[in-house]
Amino acid sequence: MIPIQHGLLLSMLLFFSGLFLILTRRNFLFILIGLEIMNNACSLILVFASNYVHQLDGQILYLLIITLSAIESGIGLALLIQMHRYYKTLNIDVLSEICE
Amino acid sequence: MELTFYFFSAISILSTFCIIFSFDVMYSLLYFLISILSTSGVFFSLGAFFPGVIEVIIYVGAIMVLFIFTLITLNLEKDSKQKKRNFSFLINWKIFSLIFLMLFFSFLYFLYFFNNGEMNFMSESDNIRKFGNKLLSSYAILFEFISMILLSGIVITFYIGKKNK
Repeated sequence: MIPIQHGLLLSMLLFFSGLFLILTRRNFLFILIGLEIMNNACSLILVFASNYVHQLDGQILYLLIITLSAIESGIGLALLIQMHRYYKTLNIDVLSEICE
Repeated sequence: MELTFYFFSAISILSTFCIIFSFDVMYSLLYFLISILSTSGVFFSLGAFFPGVIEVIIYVGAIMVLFIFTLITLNLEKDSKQKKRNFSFLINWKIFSLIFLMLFFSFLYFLYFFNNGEMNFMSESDNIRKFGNKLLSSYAILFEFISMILLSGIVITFYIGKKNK
């Protein structure tokens, strides 16, 4: 008997710590880790909801979201390799060429 | 059940906070690994066995290995030398107050509007069989879409990551 607020609070704390990581860091690899944390928190809330309504549909959506998260990390790491190949650094401020 | 849920969620939140305060990329990846494993423990404590197993397989077996392999491939010595241990990002009061306000209002929302929900241990023994039946009968088109998304992800990763002269 766990009240559902505690699950929602756990998911929300993970989500906002990932958002804080994205907004404060300038390293591209940390930004990708923050995206993974936010994805993980969103999928956590789906499993809690599927447990709350005693249906298995939320777990199927969890399978979809975790696949999307894997693809997103693959494409993000390919972009990171290209960025390191051209600029020799991972600092994301190098890419701000328009707003200089 | 309650004890394991609160134990694993405390470990998960603590290791996620450790990522924010760590400056080495390798250490933060290891903290992320601890956070993922404890999240899988939360799933097991709720009786959702299939998501817990999938979490360990996909995150630890695929995503973490991909991150660590990229970290080994790139030579990041210079970047890690430039990183000094300054906590000046915590004084950035705009971002900090924004995050704090959003956290506060969503706390209030959750505490007022979800009053009588309860999560129980899903004790049916044939949950995985029901899951497979539902995935391959009524969600079959979603399953096909997952495979097409994986294929397009492979193609896009090859196209972006190739070395162009």
